[in-house]
Amino acid sequence: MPGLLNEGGVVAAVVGSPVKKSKLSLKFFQKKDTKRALDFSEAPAEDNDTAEPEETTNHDQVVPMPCPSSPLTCEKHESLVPFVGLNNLGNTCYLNSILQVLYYCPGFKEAIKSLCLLAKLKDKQQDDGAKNEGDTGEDTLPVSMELLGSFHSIISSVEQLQSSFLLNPEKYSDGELATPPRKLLNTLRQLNPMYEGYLQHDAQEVLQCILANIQEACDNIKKEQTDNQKDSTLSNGMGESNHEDDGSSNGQLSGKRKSDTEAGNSKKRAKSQSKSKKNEENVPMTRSKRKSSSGITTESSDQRNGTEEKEQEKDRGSTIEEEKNDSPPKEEGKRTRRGKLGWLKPSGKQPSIFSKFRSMGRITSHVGGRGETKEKSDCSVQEKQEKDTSENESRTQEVKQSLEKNKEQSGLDVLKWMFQGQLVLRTRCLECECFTERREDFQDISVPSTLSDDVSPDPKPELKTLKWAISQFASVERIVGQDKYFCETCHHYTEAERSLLFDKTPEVITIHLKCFAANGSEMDPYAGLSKVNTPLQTPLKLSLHEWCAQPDSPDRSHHYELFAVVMHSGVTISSGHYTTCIRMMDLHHTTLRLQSQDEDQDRDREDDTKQKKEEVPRTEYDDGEVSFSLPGRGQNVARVSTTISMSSKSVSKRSSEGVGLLGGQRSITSYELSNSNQTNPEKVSGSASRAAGSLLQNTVKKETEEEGVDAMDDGTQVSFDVALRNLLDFEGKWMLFDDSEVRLFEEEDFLRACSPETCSTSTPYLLFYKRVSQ
Amino acid sequence: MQVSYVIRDEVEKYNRNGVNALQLDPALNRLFTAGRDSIIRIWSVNQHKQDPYIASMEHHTDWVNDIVLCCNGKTLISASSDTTVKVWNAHKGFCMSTLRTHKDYVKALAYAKDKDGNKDSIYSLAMNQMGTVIVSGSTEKVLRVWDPRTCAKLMKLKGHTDNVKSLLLNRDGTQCLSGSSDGTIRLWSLGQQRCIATYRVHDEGVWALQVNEAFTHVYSGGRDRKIYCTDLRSPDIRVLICEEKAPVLKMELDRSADPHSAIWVSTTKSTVNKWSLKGILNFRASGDYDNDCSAPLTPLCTQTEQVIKGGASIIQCHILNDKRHILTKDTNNNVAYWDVLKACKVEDLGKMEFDEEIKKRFKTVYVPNWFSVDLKTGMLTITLDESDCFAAWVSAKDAGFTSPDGSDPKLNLGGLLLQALLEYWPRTHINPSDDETELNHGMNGEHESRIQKGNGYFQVPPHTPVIFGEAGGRTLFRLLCRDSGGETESMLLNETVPQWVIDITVDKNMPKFNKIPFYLQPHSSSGAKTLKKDRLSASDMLQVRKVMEHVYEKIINLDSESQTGAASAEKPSEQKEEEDMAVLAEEKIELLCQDQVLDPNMDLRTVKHFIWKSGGDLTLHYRQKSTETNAIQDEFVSSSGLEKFSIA
Repeated sequence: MPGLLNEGGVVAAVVGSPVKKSKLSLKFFQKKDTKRALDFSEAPAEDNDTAEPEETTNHDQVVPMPCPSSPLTCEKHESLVPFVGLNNLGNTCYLNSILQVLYYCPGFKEAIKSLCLLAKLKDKQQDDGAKNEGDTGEDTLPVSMELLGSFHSIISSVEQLQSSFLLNPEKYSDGELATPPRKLLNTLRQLNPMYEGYLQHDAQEVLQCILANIQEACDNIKKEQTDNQKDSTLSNGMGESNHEDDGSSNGQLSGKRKSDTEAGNSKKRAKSQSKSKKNEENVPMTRSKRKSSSGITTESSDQRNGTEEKEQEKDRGSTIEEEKNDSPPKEEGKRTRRGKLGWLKPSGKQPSIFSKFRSMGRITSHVGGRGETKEKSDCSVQEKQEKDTSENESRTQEVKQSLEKNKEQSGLDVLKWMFQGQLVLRTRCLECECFTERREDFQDISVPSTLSDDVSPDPKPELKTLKWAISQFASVERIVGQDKYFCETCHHYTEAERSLLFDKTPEVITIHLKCFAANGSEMDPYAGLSKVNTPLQTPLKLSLHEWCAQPDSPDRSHHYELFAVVMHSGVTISSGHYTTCIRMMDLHHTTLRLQSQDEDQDRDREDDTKQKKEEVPRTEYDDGEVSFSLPGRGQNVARVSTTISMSSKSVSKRSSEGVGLLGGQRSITSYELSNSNQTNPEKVSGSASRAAGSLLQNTVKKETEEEGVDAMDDGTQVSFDVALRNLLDFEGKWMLFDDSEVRLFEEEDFLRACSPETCSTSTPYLLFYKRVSQ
Repeated sequence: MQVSYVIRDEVEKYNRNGVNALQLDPALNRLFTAGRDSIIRIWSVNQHKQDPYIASMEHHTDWVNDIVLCCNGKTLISASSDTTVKVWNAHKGFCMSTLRTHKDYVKALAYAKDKDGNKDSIYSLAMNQMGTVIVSGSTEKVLRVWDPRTCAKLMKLKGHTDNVKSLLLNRDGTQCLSGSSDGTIRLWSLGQQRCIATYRVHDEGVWALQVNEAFTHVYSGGRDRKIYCTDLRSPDIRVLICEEKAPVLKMELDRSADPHSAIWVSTTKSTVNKWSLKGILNFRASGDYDNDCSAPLTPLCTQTEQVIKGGASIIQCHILNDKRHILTKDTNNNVAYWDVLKACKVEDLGKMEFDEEIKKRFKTVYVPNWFSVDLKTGMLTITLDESDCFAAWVSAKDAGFTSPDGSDPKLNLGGLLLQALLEYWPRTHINPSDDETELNHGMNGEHESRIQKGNGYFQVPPHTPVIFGEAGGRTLFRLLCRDSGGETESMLLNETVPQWVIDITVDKNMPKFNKIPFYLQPHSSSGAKTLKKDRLSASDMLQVRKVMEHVYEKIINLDSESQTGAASAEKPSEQKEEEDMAVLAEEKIELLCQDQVLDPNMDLRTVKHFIWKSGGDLTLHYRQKSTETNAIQDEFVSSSGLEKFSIA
């Protein structure tokens, strides 16, 4: 029954525990042995929980504080902020930045948890090795499911680390509050070999890759559920409808897949399919004809999806040429310049840059390409949801706990609900004013951040706002002149207008700023591509009202609020560093876990990372991985001690060094936001800066710790309250997540960093807006 | 360069399609309608209410988008999607001159030149009666104001959120009314350069406006098919005059009386209606108007005062497989059967299920595409393009033509048609080389007349309009078939007819046959080994029968008759026994494609299209009929063997 989570946890524990303990002991333990003891006692339970996702979820429920969304990890500590960083495992800041965003994305954590629950439920039901999915099941289980599990494990470890920190801040007085996302990284590498090695990668691609695979996992779960339903012979109208939907969607998926599959892919697929088949065999399920046609039981489907995605990724990653091939249709589709839609297609590799580049200059209304990818994603999501619902239904009968079911449903639905919107391509004849519409799903939108040569001349290039960028994406295009539009109503070639509008807007809208421009004469390998370091004016609030097909729809507001930004620092596109700024919200929902084991695990993990380095100076430790830490550390140190200028230098160095797309380098670059650094120390936010570490911060932490301690002594509840109070101090504040380092980022500084006035090399790359009610 | 022609009646008395513009000549009580059928018609609106048609002004080749009557009704100017502006003698109805300055559809006229210079298409124009101000409305959503005397830009007026489709100016050019696709009517003060008032009367785009001389009441119509009269000073006072059956394209006030007694309305349908306004005063006076926009208004008029009946326009067409006949459905759901080659309607089939009729007339025949059909005018416009015009060959017998000598020559449909269209052009009457003509045409009988006109098989109706235009749609020259003998037209034809048309009509150079490559192999059931694959080539019109003959003669016969003989031995007997051979072959041999036995009457292209279907070269299999006991022996087929058939 060991779940994916278990694995991660176990591994982390095994590797890290000894070392970490020693480390921790130096500081934390001394202060509070009692606490530790408590932690330990609880810890085993935690481990179990982690081992068995179900239990963990149960725990969450059980915990006094109901946590609909527990986006926050560890925040307050003495000098440490009670939020958990992620260790850099070797140029993995691209991954860390995305993971942080997802972690704090409202509802996402819960979705993952419930998904894991569902997945495990399945396992139980099936009595199969399917259970193994999370941990050992790699071979049998679809990688997407593994991803789910590893994601869950990282979430739980972060949560545990956070709560343990909150409850026992002293432990962490000197240490770092961070956990290495090793397992997730491994899964990612399975998903897409492109991520092997320690190259830098593009954060957006990782995001797409992760989301796509999680959706596939959802699909698989759905399928299983539906299958289960059928098995159980539940004849709910709902269930049936769901089945049908699933089938259709499956068909679509398959079709798309076909389209996607190009010469290169076929081989890979075949392999994947074979695997999936095996999986299928494992799982006894009855399928509707459609399903059968589509292919496989849920698990198998999951695998397929996963494999397919992998394939896609591989393809993308493997050859730029392929991407190029993909691109032309896009170009065709676009008539004018529009931002390109980003898709779930996990385009994970360097080629993506090219695609982006293309998309920048040209209009990427590449409907076809997008559509496919989107549809896939959509379909998958839908399927997932449907499955979930169906599962839920079926299970409701079977399953004892309605709550769990609900969670499941929400989980399955949430992914789609959260990230997926729909665009309408509306073509209107100017003669008869009839229009035709085509709808496409999207998961992020790519907008230009600069006027490249190709981009339409905007009246005021100086004032580049996000609004301008979006209007570039969703602008109206006229079909006039030589190639008019043939209107079926007029039986005549007429002039027409084509507009791209948001039909459905997701809860979280992801805006991908294409900050690359074609500048000739660059020596770098990405011939002529250079990074645009002048950020757009990034508003904290965004309204999509004017680009909505149904602007006045009462049910949903089109107002959004910025909650996370992935920043890229680096002079060139070929290298750099990612950091994430996240606005802390709904901290009161944070669930504190008493499980000491979790902490231990976390520690262990940390220890693991540390182990190798062992008691290396913390700066190194912070850096995360052993191998990489060296260059980063040096920079880090420099950064910490010195000012902005230093940081910039370091950045430049890195850029020269860096191989990856946008960067995967460690936290070093982040320092560019030196302004923040300077301010930070004074403010509590101070990242758990290691070496020189701010004494002030430490003191602060201690205070918090003390409080926490007291609370602990009095009783867990009290400690919770205190801890929560500490947490809540950060409500609404911006936190800068720089790999393992987390620190407060004053909003002013943040805004400055996001406005075109600053000329730093650190620019917003991905913007995440969440819907707010008017 | 393309050649097009329109299949139509000689006199088209009724509007065939929507009417884009109206002009009323109060002095002569004439109404001019500018039709989407490319024809401007003149109607007598006072007398002859039963048959108001007076004349047609036919020179445009595409939608007539706007007309303006000027010079006291002596001159009419028209703007068309054929990119030209034409000036007409309105009384006599002939075209005096054509302006070809535009490069794209000419959408609107305001009595005078319209201004270009920005990228946005202009959909409306207005000029005041004093000629001091021109306003243009465009997809730019902005009104641009010009001084026509100096061509100076005076101002831009912003406010509309969509295309501006209708504009009016008052007499002295101080006020402007605009109707927009955003559904609003706006009143502008040019002096203040701002919008004075916005009227939201319509549910959808406002496409047509009329106003009284005092500029106090505006009549508006648009996409929602409703026509309102709104008091500009008190917008709550609005009267729903009538509701049309289709979106309103244009309105014209009958200004013969004051207050206006009636309004002419044209829509996207072909019928033009006159609605009485007589009740409007009482309506207003009674205070019975409804300013509650939520409640549905009852229209002032439910009955039209006068109707200019429109004809039906073709809205659907289907090209049958023989690539010669077309089935069409019109707005009255009448189905008709047309002959493209003869440019005429063959049969009215009346109201019936269009799709059913298509199925019924399906034939398993494949002929390549050689023309395209356009329904923009509501009539059939057939266009021939150099790229595929000569793609279709048929045998004369199949086409229903008999040649005098009883032979069955192959005819090229596009070539024949071009010759027929230019039959009256003297240049086509001179044969550069009589022999060639004879050979190519196989028309020994008529050659004695020395001057051979047309193609010798059929003629198109002489009234058929022939249009030479650019591929994009710009018309270069339009004339009637019978007029090509005229001196002027001859000259113009010399300048405009493209070389590929000259080749076929003047030089009589027939295009080459289409060759189709294929493989011929013994059927697997015969037990024979698959031969070395020889690629054969033949005319794509070669009938299966001929291939069977070939098989019989070259393969089977060889085996049975002279096993030692060479293929050359067959030659002497070939011609004599050809018919016998055919019979024999059909008796003894059958050909298969995709394991389907082929009808000997099919030709190769049909086999390829309907049976082979897939890409790649056609492969045929032969076998002796089951009654035959002789095993087919292996023999390789020489690829040269079939070549002769392509000449036959």
